[in-house]
Amino acid sequence: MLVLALALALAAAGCTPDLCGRTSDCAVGLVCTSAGVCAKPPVDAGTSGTDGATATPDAAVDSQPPIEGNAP
Amino acid sequence: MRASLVSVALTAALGASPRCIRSSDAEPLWQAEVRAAYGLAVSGSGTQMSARATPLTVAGIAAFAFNEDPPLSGYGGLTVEMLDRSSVGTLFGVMLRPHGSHLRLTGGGVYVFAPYTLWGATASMGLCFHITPRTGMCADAQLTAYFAGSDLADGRTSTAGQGVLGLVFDAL
Repeated sequence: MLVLALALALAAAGCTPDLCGRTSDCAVGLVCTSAGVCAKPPVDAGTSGTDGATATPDAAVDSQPPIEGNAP
Repeated sequence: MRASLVSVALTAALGASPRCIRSSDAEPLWQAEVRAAYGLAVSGSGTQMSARATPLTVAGIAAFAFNEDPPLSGYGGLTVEMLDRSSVGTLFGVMLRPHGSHLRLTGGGVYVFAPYTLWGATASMGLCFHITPRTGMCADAQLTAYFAGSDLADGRTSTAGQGVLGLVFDAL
């Protein structure tokens, strides 16, 4: 009841329920911007950097078979 | 003879214990509490002000009385956000429970550390009632202002107003 009363009071004060206050208010993959809107993260370079980091362990795995091949 | 001395000692100890129990009931040294909170969070200002339901916050805390007058306790514990998100953090602070009153006032901090970070300050006011000699029920109104952390957008703060229900156990 108290929550409902607060919600009505805030709605009357012009609050917008669609805006976000925290990134965890947004769907997965979106961040809360300083304007209070959920949006895709602006830094795409960070994603490609992650891909690069993923490639490094793969390269390490690729290097293992020749070592095993030398063993026998 | 030895048996009678033991029985006298036991009788003396048992005779003294009810007073100790009554004393500890009035002023518990340690308390454990499980609490659940739910309410509204507002963020921003003017036309960019948002209002939405907070996540359900469940916390387990331990409180230790460290001062008799005024009756102050320090508390600390773990807090979990759930329903529409999942996060874990700690909370800590100081609690005032005036003598002969059901009132309690708390002030402290919150630090959420996984999977994102949030720093906040919290204050609450509420009433507690014993439902058994060692168990109590508390209802509080709590305000938490988050002012820093990776979960907040740049330049924004988020303030949550929540109703809190707690189950308190007098440990010692």
